[in-house]
Amino acid sequence: MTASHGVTSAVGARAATGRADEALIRVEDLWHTYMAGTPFAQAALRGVTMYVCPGEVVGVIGHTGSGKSTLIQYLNGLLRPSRGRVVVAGYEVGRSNSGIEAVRRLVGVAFQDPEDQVFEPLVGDDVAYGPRQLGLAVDELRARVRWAMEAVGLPFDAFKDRYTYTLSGGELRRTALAGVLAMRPRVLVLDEPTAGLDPVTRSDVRERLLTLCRRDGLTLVLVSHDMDEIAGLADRVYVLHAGAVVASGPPREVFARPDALAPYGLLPPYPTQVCMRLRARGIPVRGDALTIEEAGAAIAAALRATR
Amino acid sequence: MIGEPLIVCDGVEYGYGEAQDGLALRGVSLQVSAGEHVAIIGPNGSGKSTLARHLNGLLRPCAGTVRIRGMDTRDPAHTRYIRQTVGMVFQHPDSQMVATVVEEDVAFGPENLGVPHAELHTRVREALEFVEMWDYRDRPPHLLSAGQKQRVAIAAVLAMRPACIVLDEATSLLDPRGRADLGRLVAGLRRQGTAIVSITHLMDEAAVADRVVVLGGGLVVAAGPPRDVFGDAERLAVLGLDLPAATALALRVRREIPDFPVDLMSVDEIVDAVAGRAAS
Amino acid sequence: MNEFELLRNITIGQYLPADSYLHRLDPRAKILAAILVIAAVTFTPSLVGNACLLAAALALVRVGRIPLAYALRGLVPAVPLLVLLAVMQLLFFGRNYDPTSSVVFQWRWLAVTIVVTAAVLKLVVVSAARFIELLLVTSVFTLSTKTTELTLGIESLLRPFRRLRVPAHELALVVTIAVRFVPTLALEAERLMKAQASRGGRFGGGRWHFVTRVRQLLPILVPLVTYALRRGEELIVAMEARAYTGGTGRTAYTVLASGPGDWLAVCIAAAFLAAMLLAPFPA
Ligand SMILES: Nc1ncnc2c1ncn2[C@@H]1O[C@H](COP(=O)(O)OP(=O)(O)OP(=O)(O)O)[C@@H](O)[C@H]1O
Ligand SMILES: Nc1ncnc2c1ncn2[C@@H]1O[C@H](COP(=O)(O)OP(=O)(O)OP(=O)(O)O)[C@@H](O)[C@H]1O
Ligand SMILES: [Mg+2]
Ligand SMILES: [Mg+2]
Repeated sequence: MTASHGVTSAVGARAATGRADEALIRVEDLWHTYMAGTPFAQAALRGVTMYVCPGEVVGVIGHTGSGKSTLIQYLNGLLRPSRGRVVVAGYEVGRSNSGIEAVRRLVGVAFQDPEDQVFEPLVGDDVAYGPRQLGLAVDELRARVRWAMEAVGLPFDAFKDRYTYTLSGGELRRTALAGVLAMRPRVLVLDEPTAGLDPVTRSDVRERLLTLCRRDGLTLVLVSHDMDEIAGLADRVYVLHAGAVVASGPPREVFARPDALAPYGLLPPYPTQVCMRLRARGIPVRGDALTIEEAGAAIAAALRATR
Repeated sequence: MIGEPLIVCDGVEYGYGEAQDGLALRGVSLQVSAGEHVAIIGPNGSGKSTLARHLNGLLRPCAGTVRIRGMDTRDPAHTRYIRQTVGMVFQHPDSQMVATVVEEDVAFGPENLGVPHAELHTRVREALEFVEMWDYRDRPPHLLSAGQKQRVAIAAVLAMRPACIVLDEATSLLDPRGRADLGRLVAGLRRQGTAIVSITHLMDEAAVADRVVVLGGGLVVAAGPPRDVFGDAERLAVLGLDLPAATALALRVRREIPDFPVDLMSVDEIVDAVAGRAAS
Repeated sequence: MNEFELLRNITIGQYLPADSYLHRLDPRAKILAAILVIAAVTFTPSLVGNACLLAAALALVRVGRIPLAYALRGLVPAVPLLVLLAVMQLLFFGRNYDPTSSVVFQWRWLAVTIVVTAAVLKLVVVSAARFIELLLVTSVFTLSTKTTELTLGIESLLRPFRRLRVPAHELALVVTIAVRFVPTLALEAERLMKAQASRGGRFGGGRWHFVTRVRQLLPILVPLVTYALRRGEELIVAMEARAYTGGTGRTAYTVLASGPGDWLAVCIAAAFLAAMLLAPFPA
């Protein structure tokens, strides 16, 4: 269980774009049907292939019901493939239970609905649940819980004894995130981690995630409906539609083709939309700007040029 | 089409029992007129959901009053009328499913209002078609994806045709197109005279409202048209809020083009502003 | 196939959309017929009678257009219970239960004697059969009845008793919510196990290892009960928020209308019960 103790730096520097042959997580031709063998059977994944490299930030986007939440439950062996393969750090997830706990410690998953995740009555206990399973000493446990709670903007002393059912939506989301962070997994899989967070906390959390990736070599898989968030964080994106990957690549390439996104219920990030609309009106700005900074600079340059 | 006040909150105070040190709402006053779109924003735990639950009488103020068309929410005789007037979409879609089949869940509200049988079916169908969930009508809601549940929850309130709809982070789990669709719906409802109170953490959504109310620590700390509220970037930072993307983009352009306007709130406005200047 | 998918094995409390005679049946007639069939199950002690009942239950599955494999899947969670029951009966009833019955099997080891008589054997078979019949009948009933239909049906049947101050609507609602919560709780147990497993909780282990299975369920029981109570509260709030103020003044999306076909079902069920009671089955 070496992997469980802290984020190892062995993974080394952050790869700009990962290569398939050095993947930490590899998903091959994965199919999933809910309630298989019953009349409620519902195909959720139809042959997904993806990979995640060490130190990389991978975004997963897609319209509602496209299979994102289903997919991420495979990444830490909560679901076991019955058709297709999932390999995590060289370990093939299968029926057998030997090794599955190591996978779950290596890969920490935060579910989309924090209510699904938080189950202890008190906030402090819930955040401590993961580290406690790792068998940490009491003061180390306490330090971890404190660190994780402060990392998501929950003051330790004010919140550790709060009942989880009395939290506001955003406070509950933070508790759920803290519970996963406290385990210090090498791979973090986050399903809409910033939904319901206020703007300041949202950018704090993003900032902190990026630091963990850059400094400690954390690997991040991010599911989000916020395209600006994906554009700002992800090195590579997968677009899911009806349970299949329909596009993938660096965000700049994926978002540069809005007509290719529209059929899948998606829109490019806000600055990209503005630039595309301007180009449609005949104003020569670059079409692949992803951030406010890039788009602002491009617009200013175009305006100066017309003078 | 902004008319008579539909909702009047006056000095509302509310505390969740002794577990809380202090109150969740500390004297909030707010008015919503028919056909008005009010956005409520503010940091986590500032009391937005608590306030929302006062607007249809699910919570009753400890001090101060909430009146819906003049009716005090503390009077149980008005309860049904108030719930009919103000419909509510909760933050957490799972907790608002009542029935075990999608279409019956949507029908539940109108049934309670005594809508005649024939009309029930048209209402349910319209609402579900609007949120693109008609194909899922005979499925159990607990087997849907998060965003699909949220769509059903929205349909369930639409089918009640209330005079005011309170949306508590109703777009938080929707994909971009779902959000855009809901934005169009809100605009359409507003044109028909339905008031909308939307709680959101997305400044772009708040920027299209008629009025923005900022809560902080259980108090109204700022209120006014989006242009005024978002016009003061420094104050926004103090309140723990962000700029709408359009405003942020305009500010960035202004760093290089000093006379570029900054009170822009949407994609359309910024595109028009740039195109206008490029042409002149 | 999947260690956490509980719901797949639960057929009670789920509605299965289909177009069948049973689905179209007026819920009032369906409730009465179901009660009659359940009475038949309860009052039939003979082997032959239970064979008939089992056949009848399977016929109902067929009439309701419910895939047989799915209906039988609902029996899976009950298997450990059935086995436990059978073992207890075999071990402990011995000769005390009907001493006149002949001994089929006897085994002696030191001071332990296990005696199985024909009567005990019959008891084991009949109680297992009854259990399966009951499960099949209730599954077919809930799979073919929407919850609102159930509420309306119970309410309408109880209406005549309103003069005796029976709260028809509220009772109907209680039954509905109870049925509705079966799948909800299964789903929630599933979520809890996933939540704990993904943060290092220990799950898994042999699929048929009964003891490990039970031991694994213990840590989720407490949160599950808390959850059930909270869900109950949330449900009330959700219903109130949608203007629910009790049964008066409501209209119904589904309108009950019974025709001769519906009463035919009740007659068939009644005839079936009578036949079961009067038939000269060998004891
Ligand atoms: N427990 C379940 N049982 C049966 N079907 C399910 C279940 N959970 C999800 N589904 C179905 O599987 C499909 C994929 O669901 P999933 O939750 O993976 O979507 P998603 O991409 O996460 O959507 P969202 O953006 O709304 O969260 C959907 O069509 C959904 O209806
Ligand atoms: N049932 C409860 N019991 C005790 N305290 C509560 C309860 N519900 C909410 N609170 C507290 O009241 C305050 C306001 O909560 P509220 O849910 O209104 O916040 P909010 O503005 O909606 O936040 P968010 O953006 O996170 O949804 C918070 O500090 C919260 O912890
Ligand atoms: Mg999801
Ligand atoms: Mg809230």
